[in-house]
Amino acid sequence: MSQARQSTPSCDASSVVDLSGIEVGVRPAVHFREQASGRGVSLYLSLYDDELEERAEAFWSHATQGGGRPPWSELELTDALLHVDPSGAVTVARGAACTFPLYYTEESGRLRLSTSLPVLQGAPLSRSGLLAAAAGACLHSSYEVNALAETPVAGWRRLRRGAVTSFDGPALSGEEYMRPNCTADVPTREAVCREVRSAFDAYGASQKRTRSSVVEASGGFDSTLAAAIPSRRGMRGVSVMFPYYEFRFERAVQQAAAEHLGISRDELDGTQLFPYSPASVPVRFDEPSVFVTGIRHAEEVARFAARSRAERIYTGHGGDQCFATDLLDREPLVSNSLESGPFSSEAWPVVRRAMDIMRGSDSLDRSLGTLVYDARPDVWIRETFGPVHRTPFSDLRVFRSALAWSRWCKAHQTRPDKSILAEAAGDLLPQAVVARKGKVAYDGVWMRAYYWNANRIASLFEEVSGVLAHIGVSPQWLQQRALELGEWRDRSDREVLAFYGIAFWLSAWGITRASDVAWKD
Amino acid sequence: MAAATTTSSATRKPTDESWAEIGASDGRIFLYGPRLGRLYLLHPTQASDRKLLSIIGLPTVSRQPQVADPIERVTHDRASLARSTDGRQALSLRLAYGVFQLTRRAIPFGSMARLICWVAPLFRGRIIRVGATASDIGKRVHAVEAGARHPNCYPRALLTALLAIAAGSSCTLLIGLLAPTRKMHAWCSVEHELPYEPAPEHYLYQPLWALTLRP
Repeated sequence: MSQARQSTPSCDASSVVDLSGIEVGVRPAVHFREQASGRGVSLYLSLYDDELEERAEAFWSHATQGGGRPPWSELELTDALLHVDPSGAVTVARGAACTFPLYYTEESGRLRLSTSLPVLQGAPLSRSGLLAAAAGACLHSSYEVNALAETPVAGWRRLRRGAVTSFDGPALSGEEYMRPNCTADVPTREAVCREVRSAFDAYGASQKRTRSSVVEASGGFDSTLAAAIPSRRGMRGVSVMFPYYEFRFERAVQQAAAEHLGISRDELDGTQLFPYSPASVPVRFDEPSVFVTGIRHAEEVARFAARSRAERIYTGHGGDQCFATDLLDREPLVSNSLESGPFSSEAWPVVRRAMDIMRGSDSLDRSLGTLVYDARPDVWIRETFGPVHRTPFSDLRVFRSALAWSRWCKAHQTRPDKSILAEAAGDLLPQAVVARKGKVAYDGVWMRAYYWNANRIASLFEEVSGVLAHIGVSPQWLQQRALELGEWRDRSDREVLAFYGIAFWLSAWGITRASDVAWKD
Repeated sequence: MAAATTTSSATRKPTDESWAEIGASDGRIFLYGPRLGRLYLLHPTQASDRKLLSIIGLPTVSRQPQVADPIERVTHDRASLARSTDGRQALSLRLAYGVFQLTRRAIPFGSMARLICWVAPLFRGRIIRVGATASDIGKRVHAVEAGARHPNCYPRALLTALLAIAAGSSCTLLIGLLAPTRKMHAWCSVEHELPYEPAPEHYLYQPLWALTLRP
């Protein structure tokens, strides 16, 4: 006999859940369902409040069928599950595309878990944690770094996505990636097609409770499929437009997509939302992230959604990673790695070691799903504006169908592309989208962004120069590089990108001098 | 969409050139100089200096407000020819592709294009049948590229032009820019079609310079 308790969907404050003596901090954006049975106590966590119950029940029903052992490979990619067995052993499974952070620490000999990092709550900062974050930002762009568990807050470690982590008391005792279940036989193309269609139908059905929504309509396959749910009442489209040559076909395709979906469409001026443009509201992420370069764009779309009283913001994020990438391959890291230029002789080995660990990490195996969806802004948008980001491509069934597509392509020695989406869900896509020329390159937008924002970027480095110098990074080098990028000199922007993420985070938390906080190392 | 350049039959020349400037968002201007095959980022006063323009190979008589991309469709891409069974191509075509690739630093694009216009009639009916369509040309280019070590747009555009002229068709070579980056692209239009481009991308590049070649 099991008992269940559930979070109140409208709660605005963080909760602390006592899970058989384990303290679990749950932030307002994250909803949970608890189940107690003879096999122990479990806590299912998800950002999607109206899908929580079905997801948790589906997971637990697999456990019942499987004789009680938690079926980790059935965990939705965006969610997490905490389990404490009757002996007190703790296991945490964090989905490969988990939409919220999850950390642990040892406190007074006990394990403590939290969905938020306690920045400026007494724990000192870690110099090596910040440098590792910069290395991660460099190699992984804005993805949460999965190869490293170190965080900027000393003593607090991140639980890896796509992994099951076990604890023996407060100490970590094991970590294992959740490999997706695959049949031995390569499916036929028709079977892949059916699997893809069925996955999108299941996604559509899962959105039946959404009463109002906004879709960020780019006019591509992915966002159109994300919005092509059966219930589109109250849905509005929003597109970001740029007045540049390479974008000249975009408006017509986006309009055609909106007409096909039967929704209205508004436009935002992309020239006001360039990368590096500042947000107009405070932005405090748990950890540094390169994502903050696009914060203004995310903010304006979220603001539009909030004004429309939308519960969901549908996007096509992850579509390329699922269907136009070989998921059986390893993710190649960026070719232009960090230069040693801005680092002190003490800091550079720390950064290099972090990069070496990332390069050799198992988490670069794409079939794990850890590189499908970058969820860094989701919690911030939910907690600041209300709506929740939702993409079909982080659904377990959709990801599995994408894996089947990669397997079919590999067997037929061809590169995965989105032709399978047109084949499986062509009726959901207007001809203008299917016949679209291709993706627009944003290189020109980034160049213009550096031209307009170089001085602002340099000022931010100046603002936190004391902290940068303390961790062994030259603010002058970074300022100079930012200004050179603004002049369109032929320079790599890796270091500026990475340390913009660090500097933004420090500034957002008010850490502008090394003496503002205690340091562990 | 209109062709990049048009001339009446009474004034037809073997080649016909047009060029335009592209603003760089910071007040400066991008130009492509075919004489040295270089991209220039100039201040407006420099960009209107006739002497300088002449030195870099841009006669003011060929200046246009903009150069239109004549492409109305891409005939073949990598996906459409994925199951193509075309075998090895003639040594002469593979050699030509290699020569275009090897000489790109030594012979400017415009000069090589004019050279093609001059020599291609010698191969008329030999490397491709007279009257071959854009589709035939695209399949040949794809087959040559399948064996190339570093396929790219530069030799692809020139090979397409060579085949078009040898087949008795006129064609237009274009150089475009993804402004304000320095990323450039070359492509060749045959009867408003782009015979082969592995991943269609020419539409991202704003044409800076176009040269129409006639057999």
